[in-house]
Amino acid sequence: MTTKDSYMTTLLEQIIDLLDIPTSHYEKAAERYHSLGEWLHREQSIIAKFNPQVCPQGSFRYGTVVRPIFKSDEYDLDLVCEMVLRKSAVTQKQVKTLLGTEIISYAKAHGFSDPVEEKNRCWRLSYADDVKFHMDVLPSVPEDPNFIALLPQLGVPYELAKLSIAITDKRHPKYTVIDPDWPRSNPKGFAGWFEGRMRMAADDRIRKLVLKRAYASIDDVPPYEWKTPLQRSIQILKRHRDVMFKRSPDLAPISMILTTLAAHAYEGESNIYQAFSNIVNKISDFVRSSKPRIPNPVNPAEDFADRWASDIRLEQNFWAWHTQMKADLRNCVELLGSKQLPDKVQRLFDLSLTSEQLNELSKMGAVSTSAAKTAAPLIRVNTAPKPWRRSD
Amino acid sequence: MTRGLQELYENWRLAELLRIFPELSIQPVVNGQTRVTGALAFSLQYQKLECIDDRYTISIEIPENFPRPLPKTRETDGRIPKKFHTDPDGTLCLGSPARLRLALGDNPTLPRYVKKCVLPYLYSFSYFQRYGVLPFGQLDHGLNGILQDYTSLLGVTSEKAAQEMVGLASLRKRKANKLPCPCGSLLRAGRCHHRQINRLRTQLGRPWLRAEYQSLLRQR
Repeated sequence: MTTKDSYMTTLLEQIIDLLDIPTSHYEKAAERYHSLGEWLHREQSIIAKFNPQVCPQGSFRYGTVVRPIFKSDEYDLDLVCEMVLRKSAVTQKQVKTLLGTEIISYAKAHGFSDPVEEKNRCWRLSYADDVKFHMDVLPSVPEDPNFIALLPQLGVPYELAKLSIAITDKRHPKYTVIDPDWPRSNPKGFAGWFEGRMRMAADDRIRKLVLKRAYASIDDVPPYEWKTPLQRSIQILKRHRDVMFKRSPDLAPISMILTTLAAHAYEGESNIYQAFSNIVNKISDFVRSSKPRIPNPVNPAEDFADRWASDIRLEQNFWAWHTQMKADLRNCVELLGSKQLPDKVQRLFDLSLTSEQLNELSKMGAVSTSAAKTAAPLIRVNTAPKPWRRSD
Repeated sequence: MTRGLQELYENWRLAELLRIFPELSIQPVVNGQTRVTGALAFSLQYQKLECIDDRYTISIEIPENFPRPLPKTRETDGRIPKKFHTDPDGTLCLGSPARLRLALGDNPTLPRYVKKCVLPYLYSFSYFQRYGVLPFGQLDHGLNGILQDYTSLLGVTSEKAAQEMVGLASLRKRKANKLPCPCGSLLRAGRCHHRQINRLRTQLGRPWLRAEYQSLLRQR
């Protein structure tokens, strides 16, 4: 490995250390949703007979959580609760209400101070203790087999397709009637696809954890423990995005887009710098030029970029963010070994390298690229426009 | 818009701009316009004058149809006073529109815009702050300034002649060449200042020159 590569590997690992969350946070989240799952299965639960299964989705499932930018921000723990009910027998509203009743009684029984909030697709429970979370629980039922049967023809492996679910949405026109047309999702299928993209890179670490007896078997090792270069790269991308869009988070590229594109671009690289730079350079290749612009790999009819068509700024900001990300990565490499590097890291990621980290970097030796680029470029001009003013 | 904006950024060479000036960064697009802000640090030498190292904090708003219209560049630290060649909205008046278009040439990219239009202006102000003199002069405000610049571009001494040459450049070459040369030589334009007029026509285009000529006529 060249000095530049070692340096960048170390720097990226240091950045990840600063923006990663402790394993205890993941464990706390797991504790909470297991507790909810037990509640939903208790004898008095009105939904126990529907065998409710509660699973995490999103960054807590994929192991890509980053520390929030603002200390007052909370972690989002997204959960899906799947119940064995048929769309032909219940409405979306009934399913939502069934789950809501039990969530509200859970909150009451456990002394929650904030009331349970009903959102369009989920119920929100806010935890106000040592780690600030809110838990969004999405009610769902299994998807119809005839829909699932179509997916392998679109290239989705059956083992992932069969995990498809139907979810509820208050805004849906058929929300209150018996109808097969429900919004669709497949969080477990997506997680399966995502894990498949990085499983090999996680092998060593998974085996080490089992040998250390941290887990009973390799299947017990949750993805948040894998810590692959793909997951780490996504964390860095998300943080860069969070800082760039600090004042306008609604315009930022959504995490599902970054996660999906990064997973497509990742080719199993075991070194974080190689993985990250390849991902940064290639993610744009996976944005299609026509709809669906960024298809869900386990449901190609679903477009993660569907909002781009209704608000052009969303796409503009994706390309703006990507152009900036590439430029910033390049500039970090140019600043290796220079005094400006810590400031650059601060500006890009809102993180301060610790003195131990700075010492570690300073011991890494000189990097020849840095000196030349820290000076402003010399420009020679022979003709120049004369300053003017449009009006008096 | 499909790949439109990605290609647009590639055509503008936005990535190259950020590479050359790494203290500039793209801001979130809020109102549809791409905006780049930050510090522009340069080391610039104009002809045989001294090399000046300086830095300014600027903001550049780039319209979707760049280079027409041109970006709006502002200095955001309050160092350049409003009365120094600045529009009421704070946009720096880098030069006459014709001169700026010529500076961009056939290859209008953002790095070229900054190097050929923005940096000379900032150099000019830095030089002015140090020595009280503008290194490459300045133009009068408004249409007077535009006409002064055409006079200098065309290499003539009479502003009236320059104005009429803009008029000829807005006509087709065959027609324009048959008309009397505005310089007063009594020759046809085709045997007199045709090279300068043709060059202007090729570089700026007849529709644009027609609009310029109309504005100049209205003023007179």
